[in-house]
Order: sequence, then structure tokens, then C-alpha cells
Amino acid sequence: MVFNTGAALLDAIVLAVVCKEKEGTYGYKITQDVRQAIEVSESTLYPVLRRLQKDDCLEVYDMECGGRNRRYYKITEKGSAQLNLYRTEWVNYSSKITMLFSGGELA
Amino acid sequence: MSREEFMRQLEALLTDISEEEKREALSYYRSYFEDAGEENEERILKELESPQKVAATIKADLGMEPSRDAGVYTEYGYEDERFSNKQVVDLNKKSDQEQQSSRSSYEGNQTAKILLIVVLALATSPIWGGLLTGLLGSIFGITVGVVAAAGALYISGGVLLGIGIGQFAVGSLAAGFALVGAGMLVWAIAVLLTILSVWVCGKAVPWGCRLIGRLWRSIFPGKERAL
Repeated sequence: MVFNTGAALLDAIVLAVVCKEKEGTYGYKITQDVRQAIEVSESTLYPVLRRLQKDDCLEVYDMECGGRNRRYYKITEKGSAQLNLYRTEWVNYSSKITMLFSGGELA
Repeated sequence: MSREEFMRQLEALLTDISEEEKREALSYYRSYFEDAGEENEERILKELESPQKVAATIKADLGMEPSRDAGVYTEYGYEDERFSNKQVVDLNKKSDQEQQSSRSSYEGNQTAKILLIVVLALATSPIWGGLLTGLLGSIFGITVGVVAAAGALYISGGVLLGIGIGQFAVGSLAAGFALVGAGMLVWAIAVLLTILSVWVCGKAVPWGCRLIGRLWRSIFPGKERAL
């Protein structure tokens, strides 16, 4: 992709992906879902998930699946609030850029 | 490299981080391979590149890796500033959206470029400044000189004519004709000079101004205003 994805945007995308699954979701699936939107390498998301977990934006729990434990990530209340902030910021930011690109005047 | 070999190397590379971080990371990548299934194993191993790179990514987030390759891999390569300028929401205080992180490196580059041009322009100002003032001075001098010369010639032509007519009155016809003729000649040169000075004011001065304008625009492109 031409545009670099910054840390905040990557956090926002991961939070949005995890938020969609009410029961939580796991690392491999998160990576595949994020890849629907942006190009990320397989190793990009572990530090992001770990950091969001440490920031209490995500909580983890293990659940047995097919004879082994799978780690699930679920969004917390703080994570939802953070995601809402990102959403507002994004609407603000992207609409201005879109307006600028389409040749309109900023309000 | 097989998946087992990858995990073994990764574990060896993570010996210098805390036991908890190491366990977390290893269990993440172990289940990552398991969830992906054997059919994707080769592709994932290729995309992860090397255990060294994965270990560096993990350690960078823990603030352990030297800044040379610290950071997290994005589609643009390792990124360094990821964790420093992140905006974190505070549940008790939701309205502090002002502290936005801004990335203005491009803008910075532009400013630096303009600054460089200004510094260069100032450093070389004795050269182009001299040339410019010389050019302007020459144009001004020539204009004033031509106008003054024309004026002087009008006056002296008039004087010669006056004296010539005076000679007629006194009765000296030859001297009268000679002086009147000389006066007419001087006037003719004065008229020519008038035409020249009108040309200088009408053509050469605007041309000089346009030249300076063009030079300015070539130094600062894109700053041009539509007229």
C-alpha cells in the first residue's frame, strides 16, 4: 500500500476487528481479518495485541478447541471507549482528506 | 526451515526477556501455526522471514532492542515511533482529544527545503544582488541619461534657433541660416532621443520587470498566484 499505517490506526483496526466478535477471537483469525483491510506481515500483530492487552484494552482467556487450548482476545470497556475515540477521530480525519482530494473547500 | 525448527530458534532468541513475555509470545506463535493449519505452514514461515526478525519485533515492543532496528514491522518496514506518540483514552476524562499526535515529517521536509533556498540566496546575495542592482541601475541610468540629453538638446536647439533669428534681424543672413539649420538639426536629434526614451520606458523597463518575476518564480515554484 502507498500509505503507511501508523500505530494508532493499527490499534484502531485491531480493536475494530476484535470488537466484531462478541465471544472473542484468536490471533490467526485477527490477522486474516485485518488483512481484509490492510497489508500486514504475520509478525506485526503479536506486539500490537500484547500491548493492547497490557493497556487493558483487550482481555484474554483460554478455551479448549480441538483438544488444545486456544487463546481468545476480547475487547474490554476501556478498549471500546478507545475504539470510539478512534472512530470519531477517523471520521473527522478521513472526511477532511476526502474533501481535500475531491477538490472541495474545507468548512 | 520447519515449524519446529522455527519455534526452537525463536525460543533460544527470547532467553533474555522475562519468562512471562517469552511464554506469551511462544504460545501465540505456536497456536498461530496450529490455527493456520499445515497447508499454510510454508507460507507463514516465508512471511515471518526469520526467527531473528520475529524476536526483534517482540523485543522492540518491550523496549529492549537497540533503536537501529527497534520497532514493529509494517508494510513500510520497521517503524520506530509507534509507541511513543500514541493517544490513550482515559475513561475518567474522555474529552481530551486535543493532544493529537501529528506526523509532519513531509511538511518539515518542505520547510527545510525553503529554508535551504533562503540561506543559499542570502549567502550568494553579493553576487546576484550586485547583478540585479547593476541591471536596474543601468536601466535607470540609461533612461535618465536619454531623457536629460533630449531635454538639453531641445534647449540648445532652441537657443541656436533664437540666435539664428537674431542674426537675421541684425542682417547677417549666412550666419542666421547656419545657426537656424544647426538648431533644427539639434532638435531632430532631440526628437530621436525622445522616441528612444519612450521606447525604453514602454518596452525595456517592463521587460526587465518580467525577467525578475520569472527568476523569482523559478526559485519559488508553486507559490505563484493566479492573476
